[in-house]
Amino acid sequence: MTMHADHISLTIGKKQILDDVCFTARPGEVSAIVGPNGSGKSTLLKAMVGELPCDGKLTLNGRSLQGYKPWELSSLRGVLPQATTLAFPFTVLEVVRLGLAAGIDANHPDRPFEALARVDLDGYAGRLYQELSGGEQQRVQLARVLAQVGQPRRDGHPCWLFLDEPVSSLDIAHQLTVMDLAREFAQGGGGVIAVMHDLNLTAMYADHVHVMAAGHTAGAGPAAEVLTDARLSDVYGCPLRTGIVPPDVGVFVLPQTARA
Amino acid sequence: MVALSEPSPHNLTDQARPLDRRILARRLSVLLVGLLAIAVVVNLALGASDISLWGALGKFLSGEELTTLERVVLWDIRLPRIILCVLVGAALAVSGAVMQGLFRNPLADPGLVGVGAGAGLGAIISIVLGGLLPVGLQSLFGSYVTPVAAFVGGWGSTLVLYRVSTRGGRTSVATMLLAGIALGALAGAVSGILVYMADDQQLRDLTFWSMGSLAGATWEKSMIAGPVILLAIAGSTWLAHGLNCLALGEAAAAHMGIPVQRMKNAAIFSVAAATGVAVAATGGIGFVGIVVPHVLRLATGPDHGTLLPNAALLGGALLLGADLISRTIIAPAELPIGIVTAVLGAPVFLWILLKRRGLVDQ
Repeated sequence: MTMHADHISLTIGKKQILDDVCFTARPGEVSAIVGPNGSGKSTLLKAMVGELPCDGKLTLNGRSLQGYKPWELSSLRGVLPQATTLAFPFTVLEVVRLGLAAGIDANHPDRPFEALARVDLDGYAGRLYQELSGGEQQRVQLARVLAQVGQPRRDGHPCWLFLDEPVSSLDIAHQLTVMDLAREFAQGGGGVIAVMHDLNLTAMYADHVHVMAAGHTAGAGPAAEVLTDARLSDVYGCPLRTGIVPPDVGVFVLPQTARA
Repeated sequence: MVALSEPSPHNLTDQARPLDRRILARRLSVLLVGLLAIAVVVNLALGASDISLWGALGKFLSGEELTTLERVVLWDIRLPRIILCVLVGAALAVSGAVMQGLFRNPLADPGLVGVGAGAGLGAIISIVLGGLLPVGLQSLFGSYVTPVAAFVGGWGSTLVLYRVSTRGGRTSVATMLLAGIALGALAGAVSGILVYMADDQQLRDLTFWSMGSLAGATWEKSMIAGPVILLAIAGSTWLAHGLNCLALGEAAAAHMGIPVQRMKNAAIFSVAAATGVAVAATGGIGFVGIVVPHVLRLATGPDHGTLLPNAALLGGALLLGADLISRTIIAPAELPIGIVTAVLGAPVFLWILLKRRGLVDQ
């Protein structure tokens, strides 16, 4: 009952984006994929949800991904893209309701409002999606995904959330709100796989960290073991140190302080 | 006594919630059915001949014999024309809405992706080169050579377009749009060459066909177009949820359980069938496919579940209105209906563009 990607390789044009990557995420955990720009982390996520064709084997809950029908997958797995532009002027409620229709509890009248409340968008239901800020739009999309796959487990199987940079356009308070939701989903027995840029939030919330560098795996395991000075400095190409307050740096703000 | 002024908690939450545009759209459907019914009656009653619809109806109900004039005007001329008009208006509006949903662009239209241009080329070929056909074939098709050729042209260009823009089972909307422009230009160029070759009589036929006209409506045409258009409309309302999800992008739609490629195939098929038959029956009638879905989206939102049926109703009613103008404004002569829809539709379209520029630009 895991999400497992076995020896995934992917080339776009002549460029090899992913080279023999193995990835495993377990239910009950938040799994983070980190790495510098262009390291292939978003591509890995897209390959794992079937958006990009790749070589290798993908299994979800012990079944090959190809063996699922589209509607089976949609009740088992929600995917949050990095950013979504909408072709037509839908309201926030209408967008969230699309997710509801894709899930198993279709047409539950309260579910969209509950999902909006969870992402701190109470009272936004009647607003036009296209008139919201980028961060608000991102949270509407998360509410849509939660309306689709809101329960961490169904019929004894874990459900999955695939989140592509879920907090990249959010303010710090909403970053924490969204990451709390992810952790809650995992604690309920579901699996969360998130592409992350923020290493502090990753350290705070991820049970399992997968570091990507130039299309390869540069380390995978518990955050404390993986996020080391040497690995981070090497992968990101700049001298980084963890858990150190450098002298005379002036003001700095850690998200950890809000949950300490 | 029950305190009526105190709202129950249930009512309170309802009041805190925004108005559901689906309810608004259903109310609009009722209004549009009424509008369509009124348009049908008015079109049946008014025309170049000043017979009385009510007089004829009274005679019909009391079992009296209708005069030949009444029967010919009402039954053989006006009624088939009304039916064809409603069918074509509905087909154009629904095809436009489906195409816009498929292309995720409120300005997409079957006319843009080459269905219209291909149909036009087919018609022009039949008018200019129809004389070269073997006599046997000519007598087989008779006056249907042009409609059949238009249908085949529209269908063929859609298939070519589809081949060009589909690779490995995936249709690229951008490629399809660009290929449609290229195909349209090619069809236009070939048409231009043929127009140069045409003689005076052929030129007159071409002009009338290209401006669109319902004057040739017969029961036979309605019976040919009817089943195809009704099936295409019924099929496309079945696509509504998929088109809604597609507004979020193809990947998002797939993650929401939509079999995207199959849905796109079905949408292209229904649009090609409805537009092909409509263009074949009446020639080029512009703007209905863009203006009707646009106006409805402004009124009740872009949900295809209500947009598509409402577009069929409003499209039918709008084209009846346009046809009434085209039949009566210079009676007993007739203005081609394509001119009327362009005069009515183009300014509305420009006005929408100016007002909602932000929504169209993105």
